[in-house]
Amino acid sequence: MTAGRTITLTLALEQGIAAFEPGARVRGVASWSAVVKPSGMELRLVRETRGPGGRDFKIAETVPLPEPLAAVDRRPFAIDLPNGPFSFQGGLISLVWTLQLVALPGQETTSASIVVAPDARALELTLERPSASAR
Amino acid sequence: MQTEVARTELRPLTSGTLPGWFQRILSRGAPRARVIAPRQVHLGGSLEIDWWLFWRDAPESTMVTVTLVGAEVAHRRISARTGISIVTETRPFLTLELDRHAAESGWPVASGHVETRVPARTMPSLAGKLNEISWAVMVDATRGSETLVRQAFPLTVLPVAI
Repeated sequence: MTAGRTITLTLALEQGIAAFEPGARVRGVASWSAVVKPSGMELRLVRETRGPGGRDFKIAETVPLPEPLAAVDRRPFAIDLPNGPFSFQGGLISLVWTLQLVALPGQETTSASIVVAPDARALELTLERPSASAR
Repeated sequence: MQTEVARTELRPLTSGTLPGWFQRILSRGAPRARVIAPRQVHLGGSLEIDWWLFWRDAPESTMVTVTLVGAEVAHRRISARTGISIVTETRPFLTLELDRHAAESGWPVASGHVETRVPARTMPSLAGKLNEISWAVMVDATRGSETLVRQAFPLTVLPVAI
């Protein structure tokens, strides 16, 4: 939000589900309410790795919502997730996927964290010492 | 589909410091490991490794272990009056012992051939400026609880082949 250009953004995932298999299609509804209509609206799929020294940030995909846009609007969306890398939680670093709704030009944002991993469960990187399967 | 990647001699990870480089070149009796393996392997894929440890004056009762290690790596910039330094923290999340031999007299002092399968449900290599997932074949020489030699041979672990 910016002074004089208040906008309320909402991102709702279908059935409230926020954990997915790699490559799955995410569906939901993006909605907003503003005094002035935004000049553009984008969905961004963002991947972050977080660690003690900061985060690495990458926009994996940007999907502009088709115009014309109204000041108060509601748009269903569908976006295909990548096959990886998987969401994980380690003892030192973690990888988090986020779906963002971004209003232009001010870059006001709302976001929803999602899990992208096999069985729709983030990997837990605990120390494993499996024995070798073959020698 | 799993694609076969040719095996080659992996390069050991070096500290990059000139004194360390000089030390290795000048000390003829210094231990040196060789590892031949694919530079890239898929999660769930097979991994075939040949390895050797050359060490002119290896102490008696030295045990040589070869492991596949996956680790989280985090880099942190620390500012001080003397400048900015980068501190790197590493935390292994998977340690798969592949081979183990007692060092013997001879040249090399230990060697082996091992075939294994990389676990499927874990993280592949991931590059980043600050945060990474790295994989390496480690050759360790130990005596009791003391680590005498540790050499790391990085390789890239790719996602499960589809």
